[in-house]
Amino acid sequence: MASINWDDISVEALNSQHDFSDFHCASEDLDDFIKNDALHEQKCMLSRTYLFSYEGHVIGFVSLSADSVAVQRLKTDDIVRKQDGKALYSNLPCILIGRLAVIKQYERQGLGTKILNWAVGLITDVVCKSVGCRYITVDPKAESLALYMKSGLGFTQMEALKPGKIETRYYINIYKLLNE
Amino acid sequence: MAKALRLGLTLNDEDAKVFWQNEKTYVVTPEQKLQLKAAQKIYQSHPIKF
Repeated sequence: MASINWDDISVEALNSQHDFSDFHCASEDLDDFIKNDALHEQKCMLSRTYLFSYEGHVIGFVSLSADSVAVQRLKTDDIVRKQDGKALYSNLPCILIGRLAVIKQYERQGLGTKILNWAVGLITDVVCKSVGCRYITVDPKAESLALYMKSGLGFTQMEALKPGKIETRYYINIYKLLNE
Repeated sequence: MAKALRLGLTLNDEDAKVFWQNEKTYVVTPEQKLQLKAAQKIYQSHPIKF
């Protein structure tokens, strides 16, 4: 199948008119999400989903949620202080890239990377100019971890790996990325 | 129903140590800054209409 030109793709927010009957990606969980849960989550204001369409068909999506991470204070490693040096934030604002998928026909053509970059662009170019947000977070499935690690955006492990659990959270420090 | 998102993660003990250690050593490279600019251009080429 010929690769898709990014310029031929349209992007829009999910609404009740969209049809996902022919949407099939590599993950049953993500198929289930877009077909059954995404609109409800959006109405409940838990996530916002953006759709990427080509020739009238949805070929990928990404969903974003406001999030936070609370981190136990370690005496020697406190980093987020107010200017007077007294108060400390240990609960830090994030945007979670909760779900990202591309249909099977267009896998391995760089579309997932484009969608990830689009989401990072939206967060850093729009969201961060309106709302305090220190990190971009992701919970990649094992089979899609490479997408994030090869993105060149500096995704870093956020929590310890647990025995028997191969999936863990990763993050980008956008405070540093935008200011250093 | 799809697996629920993990919102409001709390990092304790080993998780907190991993996080703070990675924060302390977090380095932004010129390549990451270039990639960020590229990401912003990709978004700007297809901005969402709110």
